[in-house]
Amino acid sequence: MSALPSDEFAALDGILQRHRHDPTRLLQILIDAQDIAGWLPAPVLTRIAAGLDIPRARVEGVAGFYSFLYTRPVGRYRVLFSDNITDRMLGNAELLDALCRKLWIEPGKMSEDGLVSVTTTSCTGLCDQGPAMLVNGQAIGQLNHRRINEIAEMIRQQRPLELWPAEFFQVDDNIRLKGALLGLEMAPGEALKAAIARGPEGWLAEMQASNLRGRGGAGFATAVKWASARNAPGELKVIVCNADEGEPGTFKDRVLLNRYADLVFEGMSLAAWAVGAGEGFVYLRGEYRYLRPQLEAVLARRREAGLLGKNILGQPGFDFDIQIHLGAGAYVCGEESALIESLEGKRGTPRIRPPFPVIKGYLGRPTVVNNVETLAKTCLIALHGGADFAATGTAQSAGTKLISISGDCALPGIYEYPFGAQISRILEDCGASDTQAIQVGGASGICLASYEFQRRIAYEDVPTAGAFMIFDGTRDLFEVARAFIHFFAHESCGFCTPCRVGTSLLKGFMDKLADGHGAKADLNDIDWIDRLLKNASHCGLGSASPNPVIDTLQKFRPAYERRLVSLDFEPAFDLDAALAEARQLTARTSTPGGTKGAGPPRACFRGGTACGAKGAQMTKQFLLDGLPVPFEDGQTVLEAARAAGHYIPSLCWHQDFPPHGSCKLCVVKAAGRHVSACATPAKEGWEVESNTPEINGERRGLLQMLLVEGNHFCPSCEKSGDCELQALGYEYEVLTPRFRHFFPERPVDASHPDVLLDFNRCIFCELCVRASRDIDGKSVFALTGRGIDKHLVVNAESGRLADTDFAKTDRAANICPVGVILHKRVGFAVPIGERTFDLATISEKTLKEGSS
Amino acid sequence: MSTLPARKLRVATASLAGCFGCHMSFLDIDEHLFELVDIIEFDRSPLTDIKEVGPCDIGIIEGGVCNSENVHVLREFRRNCKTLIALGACAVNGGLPAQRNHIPLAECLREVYQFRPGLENGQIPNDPELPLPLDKVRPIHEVVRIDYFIPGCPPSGPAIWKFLTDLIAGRTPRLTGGLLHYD
Repeated sequence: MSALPSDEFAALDGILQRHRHDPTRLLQILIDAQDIAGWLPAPVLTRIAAGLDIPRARVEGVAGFYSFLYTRPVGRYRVLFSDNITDRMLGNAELLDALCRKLWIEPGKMSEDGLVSVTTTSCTGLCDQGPAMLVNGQAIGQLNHRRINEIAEMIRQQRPLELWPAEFFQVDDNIRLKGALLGLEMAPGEALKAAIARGPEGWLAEMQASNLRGRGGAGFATAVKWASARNAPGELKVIVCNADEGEPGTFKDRVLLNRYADLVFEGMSLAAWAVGAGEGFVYLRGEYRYLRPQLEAVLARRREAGLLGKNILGQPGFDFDIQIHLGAGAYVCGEESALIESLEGKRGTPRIRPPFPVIKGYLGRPTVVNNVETLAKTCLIALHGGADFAATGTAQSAGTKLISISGDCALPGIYEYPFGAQISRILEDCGASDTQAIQVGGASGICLASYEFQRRIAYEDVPTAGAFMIFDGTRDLFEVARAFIHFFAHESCGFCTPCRVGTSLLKGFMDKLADGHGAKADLNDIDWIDRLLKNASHCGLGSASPNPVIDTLQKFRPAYERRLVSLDFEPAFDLDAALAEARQLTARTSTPGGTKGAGPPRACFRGGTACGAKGAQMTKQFLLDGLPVPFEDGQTVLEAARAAGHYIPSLCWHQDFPPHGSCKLCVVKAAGRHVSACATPAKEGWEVESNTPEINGERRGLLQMLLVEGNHFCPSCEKSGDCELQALGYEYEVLTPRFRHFFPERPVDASHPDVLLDFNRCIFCELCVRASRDIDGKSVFALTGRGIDKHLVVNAESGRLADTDFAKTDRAANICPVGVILHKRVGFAVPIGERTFDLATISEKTLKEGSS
Repeated sequence: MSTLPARKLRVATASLAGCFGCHMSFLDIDEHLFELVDIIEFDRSPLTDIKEVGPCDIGIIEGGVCNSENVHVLREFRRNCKTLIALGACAVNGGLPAQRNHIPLAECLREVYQFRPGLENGQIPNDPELPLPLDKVRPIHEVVRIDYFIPGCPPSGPAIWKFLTDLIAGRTPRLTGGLLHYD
């Protein structure tokens, strides 16, 4: 790779300096660095790594995680069509095709002159004025053929974005119904004055009285969150406003930030006052980057007015300021622990909880993460008191809720209703008719059929973060569900097995049905994947991802069934198409011996606990499959079970490292809930199910997912007989991979003199990543990409292991549970019959080692 | 064998994109073959040289699906066999032949038939008698519904015997105690 021009490096160094060479600012640095050339060439990543004094592989890992960061060239005009179902219903596909035709390019590919690239992106939050797109981060709504023509012309003329017609970039607020919040007229600082007058405790008491619950969807009591953070040990506390409004169909936060930014910032200050926090972040989703300049202006105004900074409103010691942190296209960062990881400049992978962010969040500090709307609502409570706020709504849902209405209705936009509003009334207000279904709460929410329209918006009935997408009688609910599954497969962070593989498998089944290859057997497989996703996923993204399919299969089953071409079985691929290349190569058209008569051819983390101290003082116990298992405080279910001689399987757990919780094979049912045994502290009196047909069946399903994800060909693998994945396959009697194979393309790296890397077998346990980082101190490995495209990279700009400081004596060279990291010239040395798992099963071996 | 079926079961076998190693391993059940022929009779199989499969109780398929003829044979087996079994690594997940899957077919064929050192005027064979290769080698369960799977490269004689005796006796077949192998 050639070096960059020196002025580009100078610009890069300026960026690094502006961010104080602080690795926690890595994502912000990457976003800024990308503005130099429009993408992130390899030498840029190398220079950033050097400038921050962190491994290059980590930089590559982060750069590969976020959709809006490009490690390959993209056009100088980057056009991203929003691809929410509401955009699809408004014809975005046709407009995308039209634009590509006019520009003579293929979707997803950059034009040869580097001028333009056009592709799709997840919902950009302009559902009330779609179809929408982002051009170099600037939002354009209300697309139609006329606008597309003009856009094509301006791109061809290379007209700078600043000279495009201003009305293109006009984003309307579309506020249709105002309630207490949207109708509030408040001078900046008024709510803060009221809260300061009450003192932090008095203010927290008002918050408690208000019964305000989080507006981001989960509905956790805000005052409880604040009080926990206030009482948590640690001087430095943090308030985060979660403006990563990525749930398809939700756009209320966009409107609040655009028109009510003072209320949002004031809410953050109110939270800081209650909690005693000094530092505030707004995590602004990359799709809303265009709002940043005006938000910075509001912040500057508030600083001038003494509402931010030192001794706020003359209150000695009340120091609090807010900075804006940009996201870069990752829905999962709306999950609070993933958001915090992202704030720290890392890949947005959700953390193991507990500890919860209110105890240990941003940089280990007690951190309150609240939704934009939640924070704005606190102004009402400060001004009018908690009791007044609680007087509106229902018993368990106090106050009002902003609803973002889109889809088939006359008046899409923002509506503020008291909790308890009936669906049918909302439909009437927005001018919807012949409504067949609505999706409340976005892709991860709930699909309601017309017979449920008497239900109410409230935590105790239909909870929602605000999305309300309407589908009339002309819509196909199968296509709605398929769009959402595509969304989840694209947004899966790829950390845990069920979500990484399951969302892509599910997408494959939905596409199979859509392509006319569906069979009844597919519906069984879909049910099974739904269950694995629900029960075994690491975070809410994975467990909610099958919701659209589960709901529509139940309520709109014929939409699926009418696509089935067989009651038995159909292959997912078209035989004719699979023969096309051979036909072309051989200039033949017939298929002799082919498909005649076959119808139309269609074809013990020991650092954490004192493991030595077993026995007498272990008075606590839980029941594992009915048998008592003693444990000490801090021991996980897996550790305690194995110590007591009960095997719980795992691929990513290792006694020398903290729990990872990604393979999910240690899934157990504790007190009725599915949890990872490796990451869950044992609890007194718990009843834990592990060795049951249900749980073992799910483990078998997860193993099957791993077996189809990579290219696992045991007969030709040096690790055969010593491989833990294979051994677990034997342990759980996996006779078939069951699902469709992905057959991914993953070239091997044989560059290193002593060690071979065969990525085909990677299961993403990250043991090599962790060992190299935490034990060898080298960070030779990192993961980049996300979802099913996640992959291992090495710490070299060339991407070759030989160009790292890796050695065969490294711990990382000797820890892979499968056949990725192989020592050269020793393969197949041990004869069959004498290999590790020829001599003992994996459970026998594990328990024996655990007791020795 | 505990419960013997009332009549002889008809069994067909075939090797698709495989090496016949699984069939050889089948023969490794040795003297059990005598027990077996007391309760089954063979339909199409390399053992009988019958060319077309007829109605059968059990079909056993070795090898994955790499060409149009494989698809045809497999579909014929599915149509005729009440129970269809994938025998061996290649049938179960494509096995060694599937390792060409990440190489485009054209590259694969050209490398072998055109660019191999020592070839003169080499060309990709296009005789109409030859079945056309598929773009990818597929496990057989991706082409038709499969009822049972016996992994292994090859599955051992005892594993095949255990599986078949379970099946014929009406027990859900299980491979335990070291009989289950992927290599």
